[in-house]
Amino acid sequence: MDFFKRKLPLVIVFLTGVVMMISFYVPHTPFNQIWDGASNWYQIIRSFTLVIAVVSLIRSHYRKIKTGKQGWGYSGIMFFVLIVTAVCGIIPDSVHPVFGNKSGSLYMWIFDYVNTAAAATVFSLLAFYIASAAYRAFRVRTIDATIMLVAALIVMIGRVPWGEQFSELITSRISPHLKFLRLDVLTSFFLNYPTAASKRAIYLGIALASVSTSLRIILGIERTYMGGDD
Amino acid sequence: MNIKFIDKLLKIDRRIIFVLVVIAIVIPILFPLNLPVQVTDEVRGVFNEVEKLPPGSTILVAFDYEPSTTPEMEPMGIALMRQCFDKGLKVVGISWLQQAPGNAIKVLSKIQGEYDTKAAEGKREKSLVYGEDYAYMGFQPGWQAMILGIGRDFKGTCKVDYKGNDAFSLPILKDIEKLADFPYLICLHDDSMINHWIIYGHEITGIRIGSMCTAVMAPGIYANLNAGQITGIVGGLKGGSEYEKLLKYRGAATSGMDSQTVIHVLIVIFILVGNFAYLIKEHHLKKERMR
Amino acid sequence: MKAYKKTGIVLSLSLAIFILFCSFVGARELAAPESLEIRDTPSDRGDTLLISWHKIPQESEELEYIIYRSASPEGPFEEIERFPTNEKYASDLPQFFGFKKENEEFHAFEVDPIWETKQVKSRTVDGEWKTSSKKNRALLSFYKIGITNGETTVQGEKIVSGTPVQNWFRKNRINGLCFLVIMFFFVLYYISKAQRNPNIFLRMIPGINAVDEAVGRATEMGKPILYSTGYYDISELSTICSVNILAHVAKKVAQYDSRLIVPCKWPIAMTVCQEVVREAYINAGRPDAFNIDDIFSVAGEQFSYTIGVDSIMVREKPAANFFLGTFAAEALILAETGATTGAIQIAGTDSNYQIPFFVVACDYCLIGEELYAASAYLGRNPKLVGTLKAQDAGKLLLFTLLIVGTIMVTFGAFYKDADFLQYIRQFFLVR
Repeated sequence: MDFFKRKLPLVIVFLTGVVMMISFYVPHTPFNQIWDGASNWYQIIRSFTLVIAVVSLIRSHYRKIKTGKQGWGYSGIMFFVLIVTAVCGIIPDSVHPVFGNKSGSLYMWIFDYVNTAAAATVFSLLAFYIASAAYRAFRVRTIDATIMLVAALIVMIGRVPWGEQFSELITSRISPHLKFLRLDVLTSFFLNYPTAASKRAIYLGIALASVSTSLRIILGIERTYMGGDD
Repeated sequence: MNIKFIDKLLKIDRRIIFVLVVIAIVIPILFPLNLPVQVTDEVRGVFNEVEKLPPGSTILVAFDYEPSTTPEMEPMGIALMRQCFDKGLKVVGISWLQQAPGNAIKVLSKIQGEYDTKAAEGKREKSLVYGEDYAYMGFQPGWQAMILGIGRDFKGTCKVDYKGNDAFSLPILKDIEKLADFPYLICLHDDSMINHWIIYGHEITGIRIGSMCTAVMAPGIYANLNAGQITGIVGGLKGGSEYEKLLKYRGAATSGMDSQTVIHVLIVIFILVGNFAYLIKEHHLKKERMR
Repeated sequence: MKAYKKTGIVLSLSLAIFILFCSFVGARELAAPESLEIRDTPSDRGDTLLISWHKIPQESEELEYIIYRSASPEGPFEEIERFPTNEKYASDLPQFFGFKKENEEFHAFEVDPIWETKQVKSRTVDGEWKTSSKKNRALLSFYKIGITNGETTVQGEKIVSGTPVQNWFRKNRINGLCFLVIMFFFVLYYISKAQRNPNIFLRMIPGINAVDEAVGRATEMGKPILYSTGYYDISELSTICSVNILAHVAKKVAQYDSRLIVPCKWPIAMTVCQEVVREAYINAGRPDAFNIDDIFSVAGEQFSYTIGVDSIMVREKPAANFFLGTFAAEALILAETGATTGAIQIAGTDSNYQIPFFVVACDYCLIGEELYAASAYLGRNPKLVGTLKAQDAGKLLLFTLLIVGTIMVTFGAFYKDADFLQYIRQFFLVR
């Protein structure tokens, strides 16, 4: 049993990793077919994980209703909406125009006026949270914090029309040589140089870490994905 | 200055901040400011790339944004579709997010309705025909594997469009064999999928890419822009408003810039007030310690 | 009168010669190039061929090259591509031709061969069977070049032919392979070094050092600890690293007899988290304390998950929040909600776009690769520490290459024709 639970997954991961690495560098048959096949397998498996997600959701909410846990009513609502949305989307519009996924169908109505509205509402909470986080966190405690604060102020004002007009008034209108001090020009400078440089540095580090972690997984050093330690 | 007032200011209830934010956003919507928009080079990078395509070219548009970012992304999508169809370009859409097809269908339906009206009013010779002027391949699972697949064989990977039509039967895909056959790809994204399109699309097939993204994503993509991996960035509502200005109309993105301007100024005021209070408090504490 | 006649004859002859000259020049402008060559596209799976020809002196954007293809040398030839004569040079395809200066003197284009197709049956969404064509194998294809000025088209005499061949190695990816091999040896070397000397220095990561503090604080306050593994499923490296850290946190929580809540977005990640936490509790000698209901799937959609976790934070009021993994727009919503409950917050993400929000809203933040290094840092397993050192060695190698490359590119401007510089430049090209 230990072989199937511990050793066999490691062997599969190792062989798959090595074969896929070879397929990346060797375009000849059969490696190109392995590459295509693996890509198709990956697409199919990803699609099936959606099924697992739905099954897991149904199980956990059913358990909640069965045990009468706090908030079980919401689980009931979840089931109702799940069934209605699935039925409306799966039945083709040839049966009745209210079904199907074309514009004007119930499925699209749920998507437009329930899903999109709810998701956009939650996303818009960011505006409030950014304001409160900015008020709380942007303090000139250290030199680093001050630099971050000044950069944030320049970019925030430089990205809006008032900022562009205001900075043009106090720079370009006085002298064309002061154009480089315009907030939109400074904003562009910050985005193109310091920000891009720091992002590249972080990307480099992440890429190297990804290579190391991938090698660890392929070589069987990293086994957490199996749900346990050595 | 009364130190108790400063303390209250530093520990102000978040709800007061939230109310001020609501006021700052709602008032410009009710009373538009009609602020002018200046176009940046990054947005021109995408616009000019589409402009220079000859009529009849087919571009690929990846609708990869979720419903939550619809208010930010949809104006860009609509502006892009208008530019493409007014220029006589053809558009093939694709998505790799499960939630994205709803957004794509919404944009395409809206544009279809617009052009139907234009054709009925005689402003256009004919309306758009699905399958000839545009097509949407729907949700294609597999993420990176999907991009690799269409890089090799577009119709074989997609197989059917979102309506179930065989990809091989669509007239718009007649001359499209692989990803490199599209002269340009525009990715409407709200997450880092642009990186995958760059790695598996641009670097392997050489397809030119433009990015239309949320404002949060834009700073991270400048590195790709500087490296020449993408031609331009249309970032957030600001980018959308610049794109609308280039197309010479005032849409949802430009209208939204009024609120964005006021809220930015408000946040700057918050930061300045907060730091002012903080410095006063620090000075007071220093004085207390020296005593 | 005779003088006028002579002048008239001379003028007529001159005009005739001039017209003949113009037509000759005009005909010369439309002479198709005859230096056509064909070869198999290198480093591919046998999909395309490369045709090339020397540029002609009269190139301009008013003239267009036309590429014709046929299944036989006698024809009929069909047009497959056309483009202005001042485009598509070999210098546009450095992955095949390199960066030599002479690449600007000839054109190159990747062409598709004629394919033998086979009929494939497939089922549509409606359940009907449809037959479609699929590429089977490439056939011997014949090509020639033509030139046109919009009114007149002249086709070249020279016909070239070829069949694409599958290659055994992608030479254009040799740079990545070299780096991979080097990293492989670094990993093996530093693992063996770490096994000989377990006390290898690792820079302190404040966020990781705060894990003990956070768990202890939660135990003292009698409140639970919340741990989120992020936006992606277990297939992502960041989630795997997060689960690694979860194992350590779970062990600490088990030892301190506290409560650990792990709301998951994806079912497979949830299953792995359950196993990891169960094993951590067993290793800590507290298998009875493990509660599987505390590790559950909230929702698969981004903001449904966010609101679910937010409501858990508001209801349960955890004393410590861990946000470790890849996060998207929900990062600030989670972190700010956690901040309102007064919890100590430790975040770590490789998502560039969310790092600023976590830095602002959380007490500690692991940036980028620190998340990947955290599991090695916590466990001090020689294998993990060894790979961490290998990462650093790889970074040092990249820095060295960056500096050397910058110097070479700077001085390369003075030595444009130096072949070795072009070879080095081509070696580092990613395509």
